[in-house]
Amino acid sequence: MKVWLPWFASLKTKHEKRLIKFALPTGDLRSGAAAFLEANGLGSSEYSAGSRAFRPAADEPGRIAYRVFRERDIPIQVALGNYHAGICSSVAVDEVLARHPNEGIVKLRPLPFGRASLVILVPRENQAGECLTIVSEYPNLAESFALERRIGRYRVLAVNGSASCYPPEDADLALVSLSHRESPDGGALDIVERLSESSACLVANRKALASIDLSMLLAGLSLVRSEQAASQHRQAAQSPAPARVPRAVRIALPDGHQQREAPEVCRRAGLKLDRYDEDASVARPLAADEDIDVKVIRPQDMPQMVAVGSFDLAITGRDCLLNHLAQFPSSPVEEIANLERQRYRWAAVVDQTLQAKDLESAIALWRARGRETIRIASEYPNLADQFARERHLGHYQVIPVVGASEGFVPEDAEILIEGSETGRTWEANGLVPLEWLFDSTMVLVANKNRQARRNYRLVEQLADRFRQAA
Amino acid sequence: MPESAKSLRCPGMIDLSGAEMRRLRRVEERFSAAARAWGFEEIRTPLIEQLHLYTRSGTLSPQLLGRVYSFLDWDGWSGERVVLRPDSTVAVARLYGERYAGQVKKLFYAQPVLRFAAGDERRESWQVGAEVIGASAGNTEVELIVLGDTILDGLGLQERELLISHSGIVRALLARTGWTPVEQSETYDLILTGDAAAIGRMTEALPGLEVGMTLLLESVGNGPEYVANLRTALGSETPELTASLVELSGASSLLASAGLRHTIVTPLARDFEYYTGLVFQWRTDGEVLGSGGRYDNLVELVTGEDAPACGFALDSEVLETLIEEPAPGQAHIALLAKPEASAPALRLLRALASHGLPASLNPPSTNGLTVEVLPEGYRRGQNITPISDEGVAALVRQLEDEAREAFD
Repeated sequence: MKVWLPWFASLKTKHEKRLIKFALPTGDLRSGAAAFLEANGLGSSEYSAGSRAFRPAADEPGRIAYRVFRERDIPIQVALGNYHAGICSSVAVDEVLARHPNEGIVKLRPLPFGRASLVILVPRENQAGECLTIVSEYPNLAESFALERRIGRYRVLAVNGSASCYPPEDADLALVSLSHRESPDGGALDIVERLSESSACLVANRKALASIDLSMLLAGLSLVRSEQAASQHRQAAQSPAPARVPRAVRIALPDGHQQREAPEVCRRAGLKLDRYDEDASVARPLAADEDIDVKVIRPQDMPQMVAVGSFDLAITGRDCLLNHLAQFPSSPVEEIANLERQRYRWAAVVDQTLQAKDLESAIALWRARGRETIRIASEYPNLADQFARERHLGHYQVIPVVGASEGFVPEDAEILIEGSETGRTWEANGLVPLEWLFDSTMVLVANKNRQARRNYRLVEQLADRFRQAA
Repeated sequence: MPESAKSLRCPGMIDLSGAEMRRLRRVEERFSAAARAWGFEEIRTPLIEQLHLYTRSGTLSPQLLGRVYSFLDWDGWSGERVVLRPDSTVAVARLYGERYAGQVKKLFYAQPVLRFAAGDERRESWQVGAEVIGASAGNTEVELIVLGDTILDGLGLQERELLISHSGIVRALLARTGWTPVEQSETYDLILTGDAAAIGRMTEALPGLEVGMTLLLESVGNGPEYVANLRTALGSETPELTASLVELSGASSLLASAGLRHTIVTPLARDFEYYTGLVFQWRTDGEVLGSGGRYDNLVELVTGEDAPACGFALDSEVLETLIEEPAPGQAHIALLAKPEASAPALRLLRALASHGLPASLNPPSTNGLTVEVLPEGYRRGQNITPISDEGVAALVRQLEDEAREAFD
């Protein structure tokens, strides 16, 4: 039921000319946020209906302009001042503030959906070495945790997902945000500490609060109970962590987009797996070959895991490997087979109305329009940074993006560094490639120093099977 | 240093002008000369260190750790971070463990530390410091205080106060509260700022010690008598404080007998958890000139080598702002030459240098002898010396005599 409050009535007279730029989340918080906006007369039918539009129209025009982001991008966009306010999880804000406490973002109030707990998970049986490995999708909060607890020597594995799958083999503990409907990794991990409780929250830019009338957001909003309206969190099937039985070869397989084709590659290589197919997987599929240990993780995290020696082989994208090498040029991970699938052409992409024939003329146009800082958005910020350095872009700013990146140009970035299979997504969003960068395909990666390891022969045998399958 | 609001400098990073650099070098040279005379040898540690050296309990406070510049290096794929040196003492302790283990070493350095600060407050601070590592406990701290005092005297900074304390006192009392290490550290920092609520909270957490706490946290002392009062007010209830109070009293007596006026202020050593004994600080008008103390556990914590240690550091950049311009250096022979006379000018410059005579070409100002270099010869007064080996040699001899006379 809509709640018409006095502040909304006053809106019609006081804010005729004010357009508030508001960032909305996609993903798990979407239905809760939609219900909340609806209950407060700020609804967008387009957003509520699950439209994929980046800029859903508000039902009541002229008051508020919406832009949909992955929720992890919202704190950064609001802190940068690109958006006056937004809705995201409080833990995403805490992650930004843990590293940048002076950022220009303020948590205005918690909202009654998206509740979760930030917890520390440890495996039941674990023997930490001299250096404690903490895995998390929230590396800044993990750093803060380690410093506050005075953990002497530690390292933080910053991963893009599935953090709770890493212990015990690949990490000593995991810092994760568990929704109240989740249990940690099938019960194989124990919650040893609850660091904080989080929920969705309303956030605002500090300067906007000081200089722009945001009273329509600050007045007594109806905190509708929208927990039930929120989408059911899609919980990946979990398999309990097995007792640690060291196997001869460890291989990491991808989830996400690459999971569409990786199972077929494995079948062609003769790697028979239980519960890893195109539609679903578990964290630790069982291989028919007892010498092979398999784990499913995000492809973006694989180069690092191979570099530190957690895996002998991994199937990932060349783009993921190049992004890792752009940050750590001497990392001992290399491509050893091109699996010739999922071809993405990577490019520097700009607004099609720019009318620039090359990067130099594009920069001249932007500078002529008064833009001193060139903003480069990318889900692969190290590649974006490398692109800017190599081309001597001068004053530039890399904007790390979690997803929905096509919507950033031209309002929130001048350049997008991204890969596309067909280019149709760019075309649909009014973008054109300005400079082609490289072709990315699914690849097999391994550690450069594998020859010194005892399982070298077995690793090479398995690698050969993948080479032949390609 | 007025600069436009749109400076290209990073916030908190400061340029030093020629005059500022002359004063900074004066601080460093005065410090180096005194340290060498006292048997210290100069070292330098790298700007980048492993973060884990600084994260163990007993090194830096959580508040300071929250302001270090840590990052993943270009080869940091393992996830372990490195840090821009936030403190020199920890780095020197590492160096001692790796290079001088088992020896008694007196080391000094002049290098910066980097810590984040809000706004345009300084984030890079140049320090000069001295550490004595491996010497069994004696009166080394007091000797270091005297060294520091000598240096500050030599810089003409007479208007200053010396504060001393013992790190064991507040630490023992905070441990009694039962608070977490983070709560203890936060409260300690608030007490340092004179936060009445924090003092009240700590006093409440320690029933029966109200008088002693008032004496400790809300008053200061001027000598051993104050320490005696503290021992009376706290001693019987808190036997764990006795050793610290005895050490403090001994150091205070020694300083008094050496004629060094000092003030005893219990909460003193902010940000550094590594201090285990006497701590001291010099201030002027509320500004900290330098500080130091005993840190007997740090070397073992960092390197596994058990070595008692103490040291201090002075803030070169703060001192630079407080001292006078250094006296003009040795006068130079100024060669004034137009571009067409560059060749004879450079020839004479080299000849003067080979005789150890300070000379420069077209200096912005002159404070000594001047030679005008013309294409046809060297003019000194009314005389022109020809450009030839003999002429240059004769002129150098003449200038050598004149310089000796003028500069002496």
